[in-house]
Amino acid sequence: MARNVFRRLLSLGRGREKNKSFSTCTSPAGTVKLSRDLAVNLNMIRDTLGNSMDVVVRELLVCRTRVALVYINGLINETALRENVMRALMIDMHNVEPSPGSGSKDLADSVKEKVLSIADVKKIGDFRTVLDGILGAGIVLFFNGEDTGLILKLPGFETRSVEEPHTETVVRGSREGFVEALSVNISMLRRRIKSPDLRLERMQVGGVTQTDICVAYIKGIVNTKLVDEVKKRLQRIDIDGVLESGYLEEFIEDAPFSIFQTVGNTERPDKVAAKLLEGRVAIFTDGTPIVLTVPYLYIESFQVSEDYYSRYIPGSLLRMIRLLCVIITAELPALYVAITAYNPEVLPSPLLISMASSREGVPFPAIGEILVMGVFFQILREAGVRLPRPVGLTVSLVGALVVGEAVVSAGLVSAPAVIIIALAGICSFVVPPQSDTNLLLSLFFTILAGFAGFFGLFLGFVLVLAHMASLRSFGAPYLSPAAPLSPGDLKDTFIRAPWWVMTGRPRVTGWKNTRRAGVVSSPSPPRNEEKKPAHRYKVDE
Amino acid sequence: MKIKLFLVFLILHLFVTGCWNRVELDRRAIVAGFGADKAEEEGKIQVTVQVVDAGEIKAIPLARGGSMMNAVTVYTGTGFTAFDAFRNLSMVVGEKLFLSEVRVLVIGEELAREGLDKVIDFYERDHEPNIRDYLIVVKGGEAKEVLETELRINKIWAYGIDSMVKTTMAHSKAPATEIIDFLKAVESKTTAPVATVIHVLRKGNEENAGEGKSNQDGTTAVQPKELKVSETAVFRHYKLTGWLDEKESRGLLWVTGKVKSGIIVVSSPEKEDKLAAIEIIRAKSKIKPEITDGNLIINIDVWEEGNLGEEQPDTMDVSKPIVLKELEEQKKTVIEDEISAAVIKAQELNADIFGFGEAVRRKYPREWKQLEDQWDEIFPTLEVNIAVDAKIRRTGKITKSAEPKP
Repeated sequence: MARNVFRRLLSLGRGREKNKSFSTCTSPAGTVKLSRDLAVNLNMIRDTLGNSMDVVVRELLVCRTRVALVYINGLINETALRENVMRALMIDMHNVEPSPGSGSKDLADSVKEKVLSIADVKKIGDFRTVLDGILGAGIVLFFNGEDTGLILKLPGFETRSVEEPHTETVVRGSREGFVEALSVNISMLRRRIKSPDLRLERMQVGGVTQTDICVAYIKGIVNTKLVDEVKKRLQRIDIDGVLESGYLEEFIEDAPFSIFQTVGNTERPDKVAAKLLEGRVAIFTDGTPIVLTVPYLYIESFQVSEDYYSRYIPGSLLRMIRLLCVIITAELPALYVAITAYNPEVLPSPLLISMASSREGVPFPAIGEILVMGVFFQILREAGVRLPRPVGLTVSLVGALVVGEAVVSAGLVSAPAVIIIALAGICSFVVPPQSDTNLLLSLFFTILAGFAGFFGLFLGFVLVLAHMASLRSFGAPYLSPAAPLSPGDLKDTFIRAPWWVMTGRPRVTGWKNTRRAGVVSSPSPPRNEEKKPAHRYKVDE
Repeated sequence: MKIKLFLVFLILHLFVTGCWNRVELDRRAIVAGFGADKAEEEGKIQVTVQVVDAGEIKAIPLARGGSMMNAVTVYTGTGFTAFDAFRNLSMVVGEKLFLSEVRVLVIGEELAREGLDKVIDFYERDHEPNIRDYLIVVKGGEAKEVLETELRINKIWAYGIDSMVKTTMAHSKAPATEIIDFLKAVESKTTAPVATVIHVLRKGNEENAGEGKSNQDGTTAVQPKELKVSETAVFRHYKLTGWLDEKESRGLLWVTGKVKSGIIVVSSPEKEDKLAAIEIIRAKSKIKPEITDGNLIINIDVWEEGNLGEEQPDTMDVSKPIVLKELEEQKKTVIEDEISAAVIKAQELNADIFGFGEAVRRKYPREWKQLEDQWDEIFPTLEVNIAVDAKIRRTGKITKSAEPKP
C-alpha cells in the first residue's frame, strides 16, 4: 500500500519533465575534436567553462611555438606545477637535443617524453576528455598547430588528514578512518590488501557533480554476478548530484520501504577489507568517508571490528549483550505497558507491588507515560547531538537530572517508566546501526501493547520478524545465517568463534571460495618433540 | 498484494478493540491472601480477602519511626458461591480485585468439613488465581481470623503466612501443600488429599482475642494473636476427616519423601537421661508394593542422612564409631516410630494419604483393577513394612563439648 502511494508520487514528479535526464553539462562539447589552432581551442574552453574565477589560462612560448596551460586554481599541486612544468617548459626545454619541433615528431610528444618530469601524462585529442581532465584536477597543455594536447595529472587540493573515525572508535585496532578524498581512501584499502586480485573499478555518477565512485571487490572471492548487479544498479542511477554515499544507498537498496537498512556503511578501512574478504562488494564515493558494503545482513550490525581483534570469549559475550540491548530497546517499553495495563500476573508479587506503589497517583495510563517520556528522551538526544559540546552538556544535565527527577517527584510519571525509558534509550546506543530502527520498532510495539497488551506485542513481534525474514540484500537473505539456517556460519553471529575455528567464509556471501584458513590450525603446545628438561634455567656447570 | 491488504485489516482490528481488558495497575486491588469460611447464613459462603495497600509499602519502615507494620486491609463478604461472594466484595473495595498475586488459600475448619469443592472449582477455573498457591486449613478456627492476624515478618500478612508455610521445610512437621497437589490427590481414586494446617494462638486475654472489634473505617481491629503452621489436615475426597499431629505429619513426609530438614531428638547412647539432637540433611523414600500369594504388602524404604547437631555436655564420645552406630540405631527407631504412627493414623481414618494405591497401580496394573474397588476395605488392614536406613555423616565443628576442669 505504502509502495503504491510512493509510486504515485514518483509518477507525478516524472510527469512534469518527462524523459529529461540530468545528463552532464549543457556544453556543445560532445565528441568535438581539438583544433590545430590554439586560439580556437582556448575559445572553446572559455565558452564552456565560462568566466569562472578559478580557471587559469597561461600562455607561453616554447621553441617558437605558442603553448597554453589550462587548469583550475586550487585543484592542482602548485609547487609541482612551478617546478616540474613551468620550469621544464621555459628553461630545460632549450637543452633538449635535438631541438624539439624539428623532425617528424610533434612537439607534444617530445614534451611528454623528454621534458616533463611528471608520471601521469596522457595525450588527448577530443574536447570531452580535456574538460574532464581540467575538472578532475589536471593541467591541460595545448600546442599551437597540433590537434593533440597533453593532460598532466597533478592533484593538490586540500584534504582532511586521516583521523580516527568518530562513529566507530575502538580500543584495540586500527585508528585510521576514511577521509573525503577517494584516492586516499583507496590507498588505505590497497595498503591492507596487497593482492593483485583486489579490483577497484571507477565509475561516475551524478549528471552535474560527476562524482567519482569506485566499486571494490576481490576477484576470486566475490561472486561475479554480485559485482555485475552492483554495477548495474549503480549505472541505473540518474540524478544531478551525489554528495554522499547515502544518495547511492537509497538508489541501490533492495527494500526501499523497509525501516531496516539493507546496505551497510562504515568509516573504517579495516572493516571494508574484512567485508571484501568475506566476498562482499564495497562502494567508495568521492567526497565522503562513508563507504557502502553490500550485501548487508542483519547480523552485521552486531559485528564490531573490535570483536575480531580482541579475545574471542569476551568478544562473544559482548555480542550477546548487544543482542540483549536491541531487545531491550525495542521491547522493554512495550513490555512495561503490556504488563502494567493488561497482564500484571506475570510479575512476581514483590515486584508487582512495588511497581503498583510507584504508580499510585500517576495521572496518565502507562502508555501515556511511556510515549511522553520516550518523546522527551528523543528531544533531549536530538538537542544534544548537534550542539557544541559545552552547551550539549548543559542540555543533557538539565534534561536528565532536573526534568527527569522533577517529573517523578511531581508525580506526573512513575519512576519505573523513567527507568525503563532511560534504559531503553541507553541500550539504543549500544548498536549504532540499529539505533533509529529500534526506536521506530519500540514505538510500534508500545502502541500495539497499549491497545492489546501481550497479544498486541507478540502480534507486532511476529509481523516484524516475518518482514525481516522476507527481506533480501543483493540476493542474500537478511536474517541469514539464522533464518535460512546455515549452521556453519553461526560461528560468527551470537558468538564470535576463534579465528582458527572460522575456517570458511560465510556461505551466503563467500560461497564462491569458502576456504579461508587451514583446517587444523588451532594453536597447541608442541607435541612430538623431546621432553623439555625439568629445570630449564639451570646453569650448566 | 492481497496478503498485504489482509495484514493491514488484521492490524486495524487491533485498534477497534478499544484497549480490550485494560486495567491499569493502580486501578487494581491486589489480593495477597484469600480465605473462605462457612457463612453464618445457611448455605452461603463467606470470603475474606487481604488487599495490599500499595502506597503503604513505600512508607517509612518501623525501625525509622514509620507507621505500623501493615500494608493490607482485610475485607469480608458473603455470597451463595465463592465467586459470588468474591465479586460481592468489589462493592466494598471499590476496585477490581486482582487474584494473581494471592499466595495462600486459607479454609476455615467448618467449611473444610463440609467440603472444599465449594471453593476449589472457582479457584481452578478462573484465569487469575494460581493453583500453585498453598492450601491451608485453619484448625479450630475461621479463615477470617487467620487473615486478620497481624504478622511481624511481612507487612503483607498473607505473604507472612506464605513464608511460614515455606519454613515447614526447616522442621518437617507439616506438609507444604499446594492446591495442585490437593487436586492431583482428588483426581486419583484412592489417594487421600492432605493440606497444611494453621493454628491461631490467642495470647493474653482469651476472651477478648479473636473477636475483632470493628473500627469506623470498616476494617477490623486486630487483637494480639499469633499463627502457627504445623500438623496436617486429612481429607477424603473434598471433605476434611481428621488431623495428623506433628509426629504423624513428619511420618507422612518421610513416606512421601518430602522431608527436607528437621531435628530428631534421641537419648544419648552412653547416658540414658541426656539427650542429643540430630539434624536431618537429606532423605529419600521408596514405596514398594509386593504381592505374594495374593497378599498385598507395602514396603517403605527410607534412607536418611543427618549430622549431629547438639549433645548435652559430657554425654558421649562421638569420636568412637560405636557411639555413632548407636546414635544411628536410635535415630532409626525414632523415624520408624514416626512413620508407623502416621500409617496407623491413616489406617484409622481410612485415608490413603501416602499414595499406596497409586504405587500398587504402577507396579501391578493388572491386579489393581480388582484391588481398586475394594481399596477402602483393604487399606485399613494393609500390612506395612518399614525399613529405615539412617546415617550420621558429620558431628559438627567440635568433637567434645567444653567441660569444666575438675
